[in-house]
Amino acid sequence: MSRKFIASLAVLVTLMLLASCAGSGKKTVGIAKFVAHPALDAVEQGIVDEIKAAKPDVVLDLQNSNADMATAAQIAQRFKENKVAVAVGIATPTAQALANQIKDRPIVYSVVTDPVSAGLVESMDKGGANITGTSDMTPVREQLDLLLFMAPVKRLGHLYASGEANSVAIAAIVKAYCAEKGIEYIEATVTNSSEVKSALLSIANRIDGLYLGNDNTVFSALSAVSEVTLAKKIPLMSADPSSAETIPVLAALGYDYYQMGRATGKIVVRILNGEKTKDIPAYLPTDPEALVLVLNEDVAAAIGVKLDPALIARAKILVSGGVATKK
Amino acid sequence: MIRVESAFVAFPQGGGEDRVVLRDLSLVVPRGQTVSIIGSNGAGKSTLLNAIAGTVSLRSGSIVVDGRDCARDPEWIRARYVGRVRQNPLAGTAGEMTIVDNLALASRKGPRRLRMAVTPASAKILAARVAELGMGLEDRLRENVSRLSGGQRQALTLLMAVLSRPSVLLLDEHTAALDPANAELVSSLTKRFIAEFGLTALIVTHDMKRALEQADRVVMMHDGGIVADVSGEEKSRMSVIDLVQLFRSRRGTDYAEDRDLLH
Amino acid sequence: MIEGILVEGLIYGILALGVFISFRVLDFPDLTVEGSFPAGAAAAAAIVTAAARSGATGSVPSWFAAAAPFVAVLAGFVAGCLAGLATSLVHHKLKVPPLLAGIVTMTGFYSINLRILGGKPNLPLIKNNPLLQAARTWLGPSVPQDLALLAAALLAALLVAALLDLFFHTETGIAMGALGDNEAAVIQVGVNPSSLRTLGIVLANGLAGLSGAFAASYQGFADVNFGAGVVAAGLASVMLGELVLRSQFIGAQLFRVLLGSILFRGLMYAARSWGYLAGITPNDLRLLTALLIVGAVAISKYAAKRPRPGPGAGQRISLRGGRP
Repeated sequence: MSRKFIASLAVLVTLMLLASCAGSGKKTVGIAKFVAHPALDAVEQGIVDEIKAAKPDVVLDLQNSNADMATAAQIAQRFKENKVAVAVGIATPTAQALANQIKDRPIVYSVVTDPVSAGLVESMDKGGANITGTSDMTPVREQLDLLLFMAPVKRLGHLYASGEANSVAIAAIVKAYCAEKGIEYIEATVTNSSEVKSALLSIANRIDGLYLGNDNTVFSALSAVSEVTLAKKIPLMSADPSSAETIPVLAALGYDYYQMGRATGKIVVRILNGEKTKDIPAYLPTDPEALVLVLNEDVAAAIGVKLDPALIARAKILVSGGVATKK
Repeated sequence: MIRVESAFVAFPQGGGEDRVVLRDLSLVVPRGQTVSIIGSNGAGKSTLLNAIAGTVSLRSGSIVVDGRDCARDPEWIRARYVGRVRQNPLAGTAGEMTIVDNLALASRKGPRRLRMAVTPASAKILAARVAELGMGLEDRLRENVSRLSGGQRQALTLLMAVLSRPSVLLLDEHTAALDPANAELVSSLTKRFIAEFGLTALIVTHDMKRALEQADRVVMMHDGGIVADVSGEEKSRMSVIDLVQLFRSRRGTDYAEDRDLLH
Repeated sequence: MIEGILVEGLIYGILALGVFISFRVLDFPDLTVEGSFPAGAAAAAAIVTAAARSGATGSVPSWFAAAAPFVAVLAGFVAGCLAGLATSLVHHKLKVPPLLAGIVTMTGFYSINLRILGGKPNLPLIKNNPLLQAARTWLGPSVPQDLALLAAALLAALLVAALLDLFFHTETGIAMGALGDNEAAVIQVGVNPSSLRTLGIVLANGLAGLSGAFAASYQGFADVNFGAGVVAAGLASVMLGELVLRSQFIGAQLFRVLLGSILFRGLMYAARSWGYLAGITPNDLRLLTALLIVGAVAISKYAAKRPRPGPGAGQRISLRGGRP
């Protein structure tokens, strides 16, 4: 390489560095989600809407790591280098990537099932030195109670990805619940979405009910799960209401992820206004109104489950004739 | 016919200086002539054959085969008019394939078509050709070539080389790795094929006796160049001892291959 | 069980045939399939989804919507071919070693596949999966759906194998077989080895893309991570086939790849279903796959070392192994 070339390269790099330092004086909030699927998309939208409403001047940097850990790490790097005012991580893997890289700026985690076991905070009662957020610890007991109410399940199947920390936590709860109720617990784990169908097929003949927690990998393959449970007439209870609007599952009970997003956005705004993360405890939705129940009458008819009218009345979204109606 | 003019071949060596293997070498071989090429190790005999075949390229100089300037042609194009048999009996055939498949492969040169390689009719023809080798291979057409002995493989390679009627045949010590009986067999097959198809042949050999017997002309190489070229009357009067003397006189060093004097 | 083992075995068996062509016939260790398989899945899913969307709005004629599944499968094949072409160009023109060339393409195609999927890592086909629908119902209402699906998968896989068998009996096919065995012999008959190898790599990856298109239909979605681990699965399938069926004839060799694929899925299924009795969890399946491959290589080397009739035979021990 000629000296001239190296010199001009050096000048160019310096200029670029200066330009990035100058900035526009506006605050930036980085929002990273782990993967694009209806639940996380809704969270992102909620956060965006809340911040835009409260602080319209803030610049938002939206990133998506497409279920790839390496990309999540790169996004964390990017937020760090761009010196964002607040970094938001939607879902456990993204939040962990942010916490790993960023130590001197506030991080808000969003819809992380168990922030304590994910190593993000020490306890749910107060935030960490630079981190706090919202947890969507899914109401496993309520969901399973509901499933048992709808169909007499004696052998419960549970499908999840062994590589997702939140899924492992939920599986432990499901196992304990089954032991309590005297139900046989049959699990199948996967490492990749293309294994889901065969994993389910390998247990399908041994179960009379299936439960899905909010596992990102399994939800990528929800189409396959839906197809098999319909064919084998297995009642399916899912923890994600948003995907249940388009993909046939018998019932889904979970948080309104858009509202969770707005709750997260509220925390971001508090931090932008000067509050410290250690003073903000983890937000857990306690209001039963925050739960959304989705029921699918077509599936119920197809697998021979009779839906209790009181239940139908309780449902916030009813799917009938392939169309989802919000009440 | 083959016309090599002022061929220079050199290989880069670590440390700056290139190693010159062929040094301003010129050779004209008229059509239908068989030439034995002899010389000590490192003389450049194999390199000469590689240059004609296109395996190595010339630094300068030219090679013309049958009026066609070879410089433009990569090795796989030159192979269409130049047949080769190497010293290693395993080198010319696909061992994991059957005899008949190997023959089918060699029966035509040039781009492949989507036609059936072996039909009952063509199998018959190939069987007849391979029967000419006199080794009974025509009864083993569907066996893998890897099951053949070295001598059988080399004979097969030779047949494959001439099957598509090339105009030139390059043989690089092709009997050297065989036991005496098989070497004799392959040598006589070589002679037969050359005569039958009127091939122009260059045969590299260390066997001085065979060099004199099998060819009309003997070319002696040393240090990248030709030091002696005998044919016709002069050649028919020569014996192995004469050849050795000739070498010593042309270059002042002894011909280093004791084993060749034992034949 | 029929679906899990047989149908999956046949669909992924087509992928294994592609792996067979690269690794065994061409002796070209090609990792591109980890990119070409999902490329085929993505292309097929994208076309089927786009056709349904346009069909619903009426902006394309109904025959187009009806032809969509076939176009989708073809697109899957073509997408795979393009990936193979990329690898071949990188290898032949830039002289990059085969393994690295495959890695380069497979890495690049991750991003390309994301684009094909419309920026999302996952495209569900639940409401709109005409190929799977057709495969389940093509034999009429009296035949159970999973049997009809099995028949369709069998038809597809055997058709591919038969066409390949035919191909390997042509002049081109024989030259390709020789190429992986002894490149000099192919040059010797006046064939451009680079062009021939390119054809082979393109074909192998086209098959991977085709398999991906079928897999997307079967799974009911296309996912950018579909390719993870398919090379190992393909190799395990090829090697299992070599263990159970010895033959030097290409037709039998192709058939045993499909057999091996079914066996492989069967072993994985068994491990999932009954492994817990031996303390094996589904987490251990990748380790099992690795052990399977190592075991198969070890057995084939042992078999190659045993004395065989004919002098000079049985001395060559290579990764190719297991031919007769």
